[in-house]
Amino acid sequence: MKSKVSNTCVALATAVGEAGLAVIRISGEDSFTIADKIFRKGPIPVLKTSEDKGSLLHFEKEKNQLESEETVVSNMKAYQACLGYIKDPFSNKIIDQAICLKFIGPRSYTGENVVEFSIHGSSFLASEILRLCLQNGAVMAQAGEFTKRAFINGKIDLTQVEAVADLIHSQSSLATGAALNNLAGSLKLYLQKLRAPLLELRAILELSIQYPEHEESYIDFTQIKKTLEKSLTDVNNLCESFRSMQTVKQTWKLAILGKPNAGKSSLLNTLTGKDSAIVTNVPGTTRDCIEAGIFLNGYQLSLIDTAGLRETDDEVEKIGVDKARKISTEANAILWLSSLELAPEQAAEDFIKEMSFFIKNQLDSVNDSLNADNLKQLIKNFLDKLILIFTKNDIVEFLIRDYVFYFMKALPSLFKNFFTLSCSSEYFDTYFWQDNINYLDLNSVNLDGYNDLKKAISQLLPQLNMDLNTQILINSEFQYNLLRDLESQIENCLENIDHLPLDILSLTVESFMEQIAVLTGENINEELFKEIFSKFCVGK
Amino acid sequence: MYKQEVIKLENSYYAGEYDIIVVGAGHAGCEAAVISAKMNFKTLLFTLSIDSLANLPCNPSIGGTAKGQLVREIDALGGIMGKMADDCAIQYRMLNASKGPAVRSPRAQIDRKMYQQKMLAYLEKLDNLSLKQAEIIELILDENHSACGVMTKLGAIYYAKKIIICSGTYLDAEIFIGQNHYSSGPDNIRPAIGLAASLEKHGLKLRRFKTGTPVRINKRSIDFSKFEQQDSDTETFTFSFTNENKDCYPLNKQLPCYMTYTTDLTKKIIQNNLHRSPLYSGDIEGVGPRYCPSIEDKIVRFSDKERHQIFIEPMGLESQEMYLQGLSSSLPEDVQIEICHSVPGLENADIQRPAYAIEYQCLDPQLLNLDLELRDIKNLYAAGQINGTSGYEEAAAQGLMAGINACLAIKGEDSFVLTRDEAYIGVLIDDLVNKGTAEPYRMMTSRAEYRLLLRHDNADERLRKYAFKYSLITEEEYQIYLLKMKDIEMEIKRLRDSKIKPSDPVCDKLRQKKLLDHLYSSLSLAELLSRPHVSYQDLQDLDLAPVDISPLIADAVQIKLKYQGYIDLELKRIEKFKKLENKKIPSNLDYKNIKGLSAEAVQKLSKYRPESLGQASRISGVSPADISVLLVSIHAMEK
Repeated sequence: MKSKVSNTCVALATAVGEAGLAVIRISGEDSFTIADKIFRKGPIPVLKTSEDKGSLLHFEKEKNQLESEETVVSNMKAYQACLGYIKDPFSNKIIDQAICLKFIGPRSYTGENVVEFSIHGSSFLASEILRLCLQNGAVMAQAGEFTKRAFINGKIDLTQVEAVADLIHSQSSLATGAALNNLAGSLKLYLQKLRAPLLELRAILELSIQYPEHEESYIDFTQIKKTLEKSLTDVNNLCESFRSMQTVKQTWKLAILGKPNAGKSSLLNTLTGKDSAIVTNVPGTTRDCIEAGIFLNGYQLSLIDTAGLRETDDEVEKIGVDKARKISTEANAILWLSSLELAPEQAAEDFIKEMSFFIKNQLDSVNDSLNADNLKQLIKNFLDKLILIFTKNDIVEFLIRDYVFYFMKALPSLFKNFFTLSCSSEYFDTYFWQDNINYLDLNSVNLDGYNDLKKAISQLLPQLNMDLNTQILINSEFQYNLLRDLESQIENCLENIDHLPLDILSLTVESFMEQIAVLTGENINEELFKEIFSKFCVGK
Repeated sequence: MYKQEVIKLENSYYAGEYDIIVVGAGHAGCEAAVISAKMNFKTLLFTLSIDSLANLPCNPSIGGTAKGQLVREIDALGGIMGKMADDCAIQYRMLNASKGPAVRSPRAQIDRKMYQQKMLAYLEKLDNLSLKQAEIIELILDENHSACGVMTKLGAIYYAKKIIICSGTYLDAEIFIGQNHYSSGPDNIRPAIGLAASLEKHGLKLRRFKTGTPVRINKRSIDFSKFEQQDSDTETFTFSFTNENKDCYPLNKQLPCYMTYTTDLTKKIIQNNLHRSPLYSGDIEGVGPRYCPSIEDKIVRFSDKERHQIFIEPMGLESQEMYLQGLSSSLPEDVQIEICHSVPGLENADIQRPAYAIEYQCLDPQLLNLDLELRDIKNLYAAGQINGTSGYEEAAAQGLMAGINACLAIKGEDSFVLTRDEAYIGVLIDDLVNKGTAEPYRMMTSRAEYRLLLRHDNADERLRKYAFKYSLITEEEYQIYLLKMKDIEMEIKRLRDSKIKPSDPVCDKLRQKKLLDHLYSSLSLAELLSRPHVSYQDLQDLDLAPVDISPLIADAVQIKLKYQGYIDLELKRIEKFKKLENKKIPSNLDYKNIKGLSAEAVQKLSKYRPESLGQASRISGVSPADISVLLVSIHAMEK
């Protein structure tokens, strides 16, 4: 009987989308024969016709071609790369140049026979080759099927399955580091270390139950508490690592705000290194938000270029402006661009006007009104995620510090324009704000200022208190929930430990171990006996 | 031998036909024979020596951790061990009394000679039972390779529908004391020679296990002033549920045990003489139990340990012999004397019997079905130490189950298999049959994953229903049980229905005793009792519970109410376990065709052919990863 898992499946093993390269993976019993049918060795033969469209090449079969060519993959050495091309065996159309890699099960990722084709990264080419594979006997792999097979075939354990899923879904390099770390089994090792003292504790408890009259069966509750407290800390660290991981995995939103023509789109283009936004010197060019992703120190950032903020009658532009203001409240960081071309008084007014919008939005969201008590906090909230960027310093020279001072000095008076609040100057300690504000200047011609900007942005991002590349981490919701549960159970146990009879305490410790075993997949009972009889001298 | 061959033998004769033949009258054999006679089957029980049946060749006690629970279960199922132990107990201890009800274990010191005499008297008077002194040397099979009879050394041929072998440590037994070794069973009783060979001829693979026992000394040569005395508990108990309302052996007549330690000198003597131990010279090949190490084993394996405990236990009321628990050894006799004399209080000890190691043939229990019938030889059952266990109680439990199942098989009824959440007996047999054992298997509380439910106090609640169903107990015994359950239930109901209101004067008293903080609304007595600090005794002291209630009922009520939360959790675990446990594996599954199973798993699974995933998961060598693969494959097949 041919069981279901022995079917040969195929899928694009790399992410869907345009990239330099893509990998197509075939896994299963018939991988080699399916690959034989569509792969030919050597350089793509010389073209005979010129009626091809795009990259689809047409090739007439040479009469003297050897039959052995149709078993290229079956005959090639495993674990070596072979250059060749993919060809439709029915129409003889050549689809793409490809490098073929052959793995013989169980020494492969899935544990089965595997063929991988590295092809040019184009979704069209990929879908053509997939179609060929399906026509020649493969079935389409389900999501996660390769990993599932690897698990079924005993290539990886459950913690590693989670890691692979994570590796596939992680986009930032820090998260990838952690996933790779798990794949190497370090989570399992950590969990085993976490389990060891619990096993020992259980052995002590069981010894005392099994051999009540034995001199070594004395129970030291202080020691037990210490052990459990240590376990709690360890579990706690794992949970903490998950929360840090969420921070790393998250995409951080950076809103680029400023008056029209302050240079927002230029900034976006410089940071992303490509022309994401159209840059002109006509104010109001960007009417809607443009989003572009970059990586910075391992974090995944999303830069949002917004419409220039100004009062306008243009309906479309108005929508853009409202949207920009909304984004500024949601964003993790705000880059406020202010052109040095403007008079400082004017620039300050623009800035403070926007700040007041931000504060209004914040107040609305919590249904609160502005008062002397929360004002300082609200301003701080804003400044905490703000980087003030003065642009076009190549055009206008200005001592930036003085310029910023204008901003701060203007705060009390300007604020009154927007809020009916009797603001005494004590709320606006100019020097305090000045010391708490991030600012820098740059221009789009000389890129020196950009390094400062990147540094400033990184400082705004949450600082992780662990090295994600070496720290053992959990990174799946499943693992996290399980450990959170365990965490609270250990806490609970510690709280009540003085009232717990030994039978319940031992059972509780056993359940801790069972939960850890769910993550590592080990059988605990046999080990318990080993532990007892190797550590204690008991018996008649 | 086969039936056709036996008939042709010259020196043999046809001696009779029975329903059930039990070979061996140790603790397994006695239970098997008694239960089958009680179930009205014509039963024949063989023993090598009638004077030595139901012997306690090692420690003079019955019960102990996990073993006490087994005795209670045996009793609940109509077995004989608990009643006999009650009759012969000379000291009682409830072990782990303070460690929670789930691990409390009754143990009693037993007058060894009295135990044997009372058992003999009981067997001789039992209807349907015939007791014979004979050595069985042949198992006789019929043309279907099914067991049908046995032959004695004197050529008598007995036929039976079912045969239960309970050969204990007697099969090809050999005793080791230093360089001396000779063919013998325990206590110089003759060994069983021939039967092992007969079993092997029939295709059963046997293996060799080892166990040992310490020296016995004369009481009068002991200086008791150097020992710690361990008296009986002041509260006595009975093993048998039937005896619950009867009096125990009077407290003032009970004999104490004693405790002492080995010394540096003991260690030196052993280290200097290790080369004379058959264990270290390689003469002994049998596998011994980890949990019954000899004193030389302990000194070698735990060389940094300064001293080892020795318990001194009386062998009987009249006997002057004392058993030295902790001094099991196979060193030469002269070294044993030196060791004894190095222990404080034993300086002048007069040894009556030397310690020895004993090797014997036994079966791999994985050859058995869960009803203890041999898979490859129908009608043949095995119980006790032949199945690789150690201990009187483990043996008795198997004897009882083998006896019941042999009878049920004759009746054509389904076999009686206890599950792991029902009884320690279920754990014992499931472990043996599915996991096998690499050393003599001893029951331990930690082997039972649901021990919160498997308490000694509720063995009747768990098992009396089966005893009644299979007519293993009398109608009267069943009525006593029903009455007890009713009493418990009524008291729980009363506690649930009685409420304390904040205005009640008793609240002040409760506060005074620090049993209650502030009461905001009414509280039932059951809720009050379920709090950690409150005991049933407290309720009695405050007139909230009857003082004349039986302590057993009070205890049962208290455990039920206090442990309800934990018991519920336990039940949830069982539910989860049963899902896996009950997942049936198709009987025609070809493990070789399942990708991803480890080679070892394929081999083990093909060999033992487990019926369920739960059973498969307990086979050693089958990893959790293999179980996942099996689960996925079975799902795939079902689709």
